[in-house]
Amino acid sequence: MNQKEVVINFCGYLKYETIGDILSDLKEQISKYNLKVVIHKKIVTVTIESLENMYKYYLNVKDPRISNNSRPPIFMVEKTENEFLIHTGNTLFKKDVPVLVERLEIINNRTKDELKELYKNIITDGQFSMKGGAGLGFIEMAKMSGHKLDFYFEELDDDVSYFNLAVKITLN
Amino acid sequence: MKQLIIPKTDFAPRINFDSTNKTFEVTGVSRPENAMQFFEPALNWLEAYIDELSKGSNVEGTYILTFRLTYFNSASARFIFRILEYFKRLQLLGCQIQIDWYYDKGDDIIIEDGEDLSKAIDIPFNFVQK
Repeated sequence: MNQKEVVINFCGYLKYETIGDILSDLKEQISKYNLKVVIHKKIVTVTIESLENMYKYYLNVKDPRISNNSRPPIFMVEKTENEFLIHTGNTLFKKDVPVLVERLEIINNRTKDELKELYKNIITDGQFSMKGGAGLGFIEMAKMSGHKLDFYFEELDDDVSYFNLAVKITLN
Repeated sequence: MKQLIIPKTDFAPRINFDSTNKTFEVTGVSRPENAMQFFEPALNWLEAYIDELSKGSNVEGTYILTFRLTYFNSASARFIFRILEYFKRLQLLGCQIQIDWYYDKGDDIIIEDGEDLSKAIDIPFNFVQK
């Protein structure tokens, strides 16, 4: 049986400073695993990109339909014998779901070299099929992971969905 | 031109652009809350500097851009590339440029980041272990 251990668990709305606090806690928690530099860096990178997406997205959706919703954002890191799983969850407008799905499916259908090329194209001339800074963040997460980004959406009501994302970092 | 010094914080790098010594350094962690706002003074300084040089100032000597970044987020990557673009312009003005990319032992990720940026700007970097 592949047992899972919760390394860190955060639930609630982020201030920018909270990202640094979560990062410090996470680094302290993962220090006991004596991870290789590269694995440590991958976990930290995905964590920062995830938390910054959650923080920036929240700034964009200060709408009573979402802020009154009972489902706050979450961030959790789990460890199994062979991998770390970095989970995030946050609300978004239902109307924004198709665009996000398309973006994530584009990323999931790219090889590592194709992701690097996509990343380079965005940083050099800003061309990407979607608006918003979050595109680079997802690409960076996919590059670090080397696996498909695992995502699904839950409908909370007529206007609001909840976006769940899990990013895998394998230890080998 | 006056030297530009932006002190380091827990989430933003130290920037030290010294026109007298022709040394330009970016050091630390880069994940500022607003990357555009953070990097704007540095980019404006470089714009003004190159403008001055292009009007016939002395371009002798080597212009050394040094990155000692332990981490930079995806939002910072665009602006790091913009800094590199200014150095490309220096090169096109006839200046001798050198780009040093420092890395910690075992940090293959920051090495790869440097390699990718070097390819993107088409300037060879010197990779230096700290």
